[in-house]
Amino acid sequence: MVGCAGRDLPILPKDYSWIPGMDRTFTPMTFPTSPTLLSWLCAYALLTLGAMQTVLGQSLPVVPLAEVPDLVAKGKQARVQGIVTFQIIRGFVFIQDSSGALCLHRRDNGTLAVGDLVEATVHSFSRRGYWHVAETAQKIGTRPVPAPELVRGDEFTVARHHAARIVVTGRVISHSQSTHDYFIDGAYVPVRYDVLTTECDGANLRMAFLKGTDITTQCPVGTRATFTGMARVHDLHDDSTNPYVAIWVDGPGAVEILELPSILARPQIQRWLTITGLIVLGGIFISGVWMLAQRRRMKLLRAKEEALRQSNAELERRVAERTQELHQALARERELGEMKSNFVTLVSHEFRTPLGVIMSAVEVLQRYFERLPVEKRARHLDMIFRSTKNLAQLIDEVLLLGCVEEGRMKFAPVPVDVEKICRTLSDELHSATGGTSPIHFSVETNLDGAVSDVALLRHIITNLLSNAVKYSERGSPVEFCAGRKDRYLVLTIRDQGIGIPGADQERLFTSFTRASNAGQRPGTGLGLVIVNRCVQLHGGKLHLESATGRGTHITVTLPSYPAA
Amino acid sequence: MKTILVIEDQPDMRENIATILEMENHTVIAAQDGRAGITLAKEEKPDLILCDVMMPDMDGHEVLALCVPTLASLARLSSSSPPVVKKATNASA
Repeated sequence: MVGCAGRDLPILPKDYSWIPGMDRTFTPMTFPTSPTLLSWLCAYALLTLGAMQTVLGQSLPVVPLAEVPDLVAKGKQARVQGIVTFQIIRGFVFIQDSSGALCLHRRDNGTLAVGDLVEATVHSFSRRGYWHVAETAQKIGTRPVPAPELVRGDEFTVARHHAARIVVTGRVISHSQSTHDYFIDGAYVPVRYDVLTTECDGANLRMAFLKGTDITTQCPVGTRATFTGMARVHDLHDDSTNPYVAIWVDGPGAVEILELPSILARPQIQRWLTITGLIVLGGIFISGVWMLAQRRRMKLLRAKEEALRQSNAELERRVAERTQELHQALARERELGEMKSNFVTLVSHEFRTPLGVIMSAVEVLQRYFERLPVEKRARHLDMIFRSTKNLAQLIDEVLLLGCVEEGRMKFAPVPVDVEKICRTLSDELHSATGGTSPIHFSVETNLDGAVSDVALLRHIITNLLSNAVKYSERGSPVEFCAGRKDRYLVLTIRDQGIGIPGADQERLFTSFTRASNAGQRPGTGLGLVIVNRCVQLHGGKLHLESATGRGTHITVTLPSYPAA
Repeated sequence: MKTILVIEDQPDMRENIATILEMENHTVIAAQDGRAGITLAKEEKPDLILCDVMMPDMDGHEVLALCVPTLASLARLSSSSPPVVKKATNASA
């Protein structure tokens, strides 16, 4: 018995061989016809009846099946007869008579077939499993199985339908499995079922199919069908917490499918659709995520490209900038080089001129001294003297200009007595030039508190005064005026000399450039260059006004007073 | 005895050269710049021209460039071509 527990059980009406003890070669008993056998049988029947009477203690009348529950409930025994309508497992059968039906458990676990008319004496009721129990059951004949009663799902009653063969129509709402243990030969045998929970006229009924059918495939959820089987009805009286109707269906043949669910409503299709839908949704989701990721990647890529482009542009801009700077620096360097080269050429020429004069004068004196008139000798000697002096001045000024240009001459301001310096320089220059032109120095305002570089100031004043005297006719006065205007020291030098032609004024601050009307007046062409540089070192300004034949007016403005 | 044209912007220098040449018994004509020199060269037809290179306005090379064709035409007329001597006293010349 236990051995069959794990096996899938075949459908009952078709094959009973799985039931232990069931004889496959069983054939219905045929009645013997010979007198000997008949007498034997009579004797056997008498003996059996006698034995039964011995067992039961008394001979009982056969009662309708409908009355059995009441009798058993009162503790009485009931002798019953009924036609087997269904056998779940060996010893567990449904029997039916004209009054009702009963679930019968015969304890000897004998086998019966559907359609057998049996007789048994019920003596108790097993609440567990809702079976009426008899020790044994005798087959006393064969009868056609009664037609099933058509019942609405909401009309089941224990009294009328428990254990009855019925037909019910409903719609499958779910599939499940169930296991029930049956006590056979002293042990519980588990029997497994496929269960269709079915909605029948508003009531939920369970259709139990012995395991091994493909009922769940045949009747997908939503199927409407007619089920023929044995009802086991439990009502509030029996189990108040779980009233239900379970119907043991004979087999697939007892199911008549009225209506299958639409293709889309079928669970397999739905499952398939669900899976497909999930796959599609998953695909869409993954695609979406992928697309988002791509977009993000593209965005990042674009941002990177943009950054790269910008950085490239920035780099190119910088390179261009640097290149331009380099070009400019190179051009400046070249210009400086050219300037230096020109300067050297100019300087050498300027040096050579007085040197050439000296040498030629000396040569003249050496070779022709005897033949030269006295005044001519004196002229040549004077020539040598002037040229030497000019050369010395030139050397001084070139060296000074070199200092200024190379930045060796620094602006070092100290408190100065401007008036005293101006007066001293005027006197010095007046005597140095032999007093050819008088210098009239005047002070416009109080000059106290000036801060300036004495050496630079000296160069400025000396050069300007010497120019003024040099380019003035003998006796023509030079006006020299010093004054303060706000935080500026203003020096004005005005002469009435030959003046500077307009065309030459722009070039005056270039080295070795002299006014075209300078004539025989000695000069190096460096004086104004030096003055201009000294004024620039002060952070000041030089303003020149001049006209040929009317003199020159130079104004130097130096920020020599601290801000108020 | 020759006629020599001296073109020199520096007066002292011009005077010294002239003195030396005169002492050597030559006739000296002097010009203080290139233009005057060219004019004098055309007028006086000197035997020799002594010309400074570095001069304001027109330097020695320009004077030479302008003098040569002038002198060449003169040479055809007078059949005596005066040589032109550059005075190369400058380091750069």
